[in-house]
Amino acid sequence: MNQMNVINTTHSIHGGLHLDEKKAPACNVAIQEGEIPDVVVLPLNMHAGRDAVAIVEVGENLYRGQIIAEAEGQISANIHSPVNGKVVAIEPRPMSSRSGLPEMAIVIQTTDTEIVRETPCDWIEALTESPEVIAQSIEAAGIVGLGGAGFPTASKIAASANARKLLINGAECEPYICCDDRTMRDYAEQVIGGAFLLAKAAACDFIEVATEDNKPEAIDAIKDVLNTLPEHMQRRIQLYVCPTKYPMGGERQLLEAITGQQVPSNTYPVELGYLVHNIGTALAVYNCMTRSEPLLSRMVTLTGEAIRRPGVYHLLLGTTVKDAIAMAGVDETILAQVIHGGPMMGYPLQNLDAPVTKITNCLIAATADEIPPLPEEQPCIRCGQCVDVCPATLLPQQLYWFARSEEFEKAASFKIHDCIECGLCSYVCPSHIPLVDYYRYAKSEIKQLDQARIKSERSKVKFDARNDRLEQERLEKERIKAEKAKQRAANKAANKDKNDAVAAALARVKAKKAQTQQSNDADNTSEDSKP
Amino acid sequence: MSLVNQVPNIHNKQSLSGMMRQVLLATIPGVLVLWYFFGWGVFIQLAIASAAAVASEAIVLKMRGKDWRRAINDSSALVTAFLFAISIPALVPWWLTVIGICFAIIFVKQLYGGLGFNPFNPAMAAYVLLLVSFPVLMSSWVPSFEMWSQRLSLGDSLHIIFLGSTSSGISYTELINGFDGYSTATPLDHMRNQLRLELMPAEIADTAEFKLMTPAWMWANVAFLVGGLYLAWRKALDWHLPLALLVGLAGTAFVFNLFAPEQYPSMIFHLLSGGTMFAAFFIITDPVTASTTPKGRWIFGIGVGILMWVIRTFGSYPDAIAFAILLMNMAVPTIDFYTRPKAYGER
Repeated sequence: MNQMNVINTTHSIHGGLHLDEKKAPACNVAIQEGEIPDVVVLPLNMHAGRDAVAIVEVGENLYRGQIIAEAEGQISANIHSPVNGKVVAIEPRPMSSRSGLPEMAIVIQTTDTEIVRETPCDWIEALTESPEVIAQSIEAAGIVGLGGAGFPTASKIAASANARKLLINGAECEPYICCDDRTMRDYAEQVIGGAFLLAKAAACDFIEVATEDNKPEAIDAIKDVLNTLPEHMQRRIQLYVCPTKYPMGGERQLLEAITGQQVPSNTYPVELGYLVHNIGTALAVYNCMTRSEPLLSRMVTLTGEAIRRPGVYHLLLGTTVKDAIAMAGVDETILAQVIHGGPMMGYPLQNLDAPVTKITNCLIAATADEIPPLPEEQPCIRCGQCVDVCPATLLPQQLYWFARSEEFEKAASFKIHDCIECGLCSYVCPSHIPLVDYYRYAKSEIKQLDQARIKSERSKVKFDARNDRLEQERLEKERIKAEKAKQRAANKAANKDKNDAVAAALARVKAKKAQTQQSNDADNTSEDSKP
Repeated sequence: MSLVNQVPNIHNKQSLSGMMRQVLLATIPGVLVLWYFFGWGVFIQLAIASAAAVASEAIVLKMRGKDWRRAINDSSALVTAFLFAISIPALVPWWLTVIGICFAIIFVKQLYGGLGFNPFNPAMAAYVLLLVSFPVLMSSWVPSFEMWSQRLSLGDSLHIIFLGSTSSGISYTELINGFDGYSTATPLDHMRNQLRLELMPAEIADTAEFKLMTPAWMWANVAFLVGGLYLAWRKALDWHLPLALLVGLAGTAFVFNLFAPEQYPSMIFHLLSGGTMFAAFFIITDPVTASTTPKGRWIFGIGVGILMWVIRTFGSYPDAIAFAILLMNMAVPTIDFYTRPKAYGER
């Protein structure tokens, strides 16, 4: 065994907490193939960024892998049909979002009875493709970050041109969720292959795979694959093992644990030279490059006490939550709610007709006892337990105070924007205050205020410009007026000069006349006096 | 399907009232020691204070249009009652306790907005009010029982507290003016008074009188330390605060004792006299009125410790805890403002 490739991280992250993992029993079963549902519902927005634009019509027959909606703008992703079938509707459908509000979706009636996937080619062979080709394939395949954020992978690569290291994030830290764990165990080679392909696309020289020490089987599986790699590839990859602590899987926390450095505020990991992608994303890239398969399916953890056969299921995108939990044997009689995502950052679904999307990593079919409602909110006693667990080193109790009293500027000066909404503060709050809700509220208010401020600044600029223009015009007018006046004055002066000249001439004549007269008189006088 | 929309969906299942009950539980060793040395009055004061606290809290909550049952449910009024009752001499008249508690709950706590909103520690503010208004009553710790030929019975204790004299006619004034020639001073008082007579701490500590009055306070301190360590172990308090107070007090006492042992009593004397451990683990750990930032807690605790030493040494009150804490309470908003930790990624 090559120990050189495994490093236990020594840097600590601030705060964090070891939560009751609850990953078993779902993580103990190998990944199972999901069933083909009768209908798939594909929302036009199942990624971060703008909605894709539907390019199919109702009634159209589709083949599996056919593009049905195209990316729109810089940050968006293509959507493909995961099944052979027929478009039966393009209409608003209930969503698996926090609000659950209906959004436009393409609804496809499936005609498949089984799905045949292409046999993958050797990924080492696929690695001979140029970076541009790989990046373009990733973009065309509609691959987005499968860790839960759904940021389009191609956009992330494009935005991280300066990254030299690719970090594959396998620190699946939230309780219950174990799809990445299982993917590493069952598809370790594919994940590593995908990582090399991603690294090539992003021009990264070095790959780091990170996971937590509560996933020993996954660590072993990855290690085994690393040991089979040729030496020149082994030199370019390293496995990091971090302590198990929520939220280690946050990319900023993970980078702090690995490098000991913090990603500066308002910047991205590329600032530290890193590009971070999820385990599932690496697998999707592998499928894209070796099978020419766009993103049609994903691993979903189906778990919770109301599920009879918990496990990680390989589900087609668009499978409704109802169908998904039925595959894992849901017991409707004890089902209280279904949580989309993990218990910390996820949310309960309003409607089980909502679909599994590219960002659905976990569905928890919970019983009433499993996730009980919080007791009544009590006043904050500033006990500071939230401070101790906050991974962003914030003062949650002060932020709560500011959010409550709507002192948004103070909240901003206490760095509310650095809150990653991990939920630990509320988790430990003895007063059961839904702190994250307050922060979300404050953040959205600050955003609105900022927008209003930008708008008013723009208006002010416009207003000032108008004033300037009017002032300019006024000055110009005055200048012209003044010039005219000057002109007039000059003319007047010229006239006056003329008149003056005449007057002077007249005066001279007059004076001369007077002089002559005088001398005549004098002569006369002298003459008069002489005799 | 009934939805529970909360972020996050799970909780560590701790609660405010649970924390408060832990605090009440942790006072038990200390209360038992006080009872052993000072008699039934300790329990009677606890009962009076608790009843007055819950009643006044319920009434004010009702007047404020809030759920009055909270007064009992969150146990915070009971905690105030316990902390106050433990701070006062065991045989003070019942009305003194009631006045103190009503002031603590109604004025110091509820008028500022109730639990979580009060800038001052209610028990300490009430203590100071009574100390300033009734200095003699409030500084008279009736001698611990070892000085008595016989213990004051429960009936006599009730008699004194409610009626002003024992059933055999010994009045409260007679009691506090000394029994068998002994004064009712605490070791802290005694030390200060004797120091002013130009005696050296070592000499004072050697007197029979001092030796007789010391064990009660020493054991009470040990008992409250035990309760406090239990709270720290259960994570019901932030251990930084008590540690900071003890460091502030012991450090100051150590330095002065080192350079002028003939003038300043030792560090151990300060740590085991008066309400040091009670203050460190039960009073300044009231999170509402303490600083809330990690650095601020050190400053707050050390500040209280230093002020305690200063007031004990140069002041003329029986103990300095209440004043030291109220003074630092005033500084909390400033401390908090200037000790905000750097956020992740902040440059």
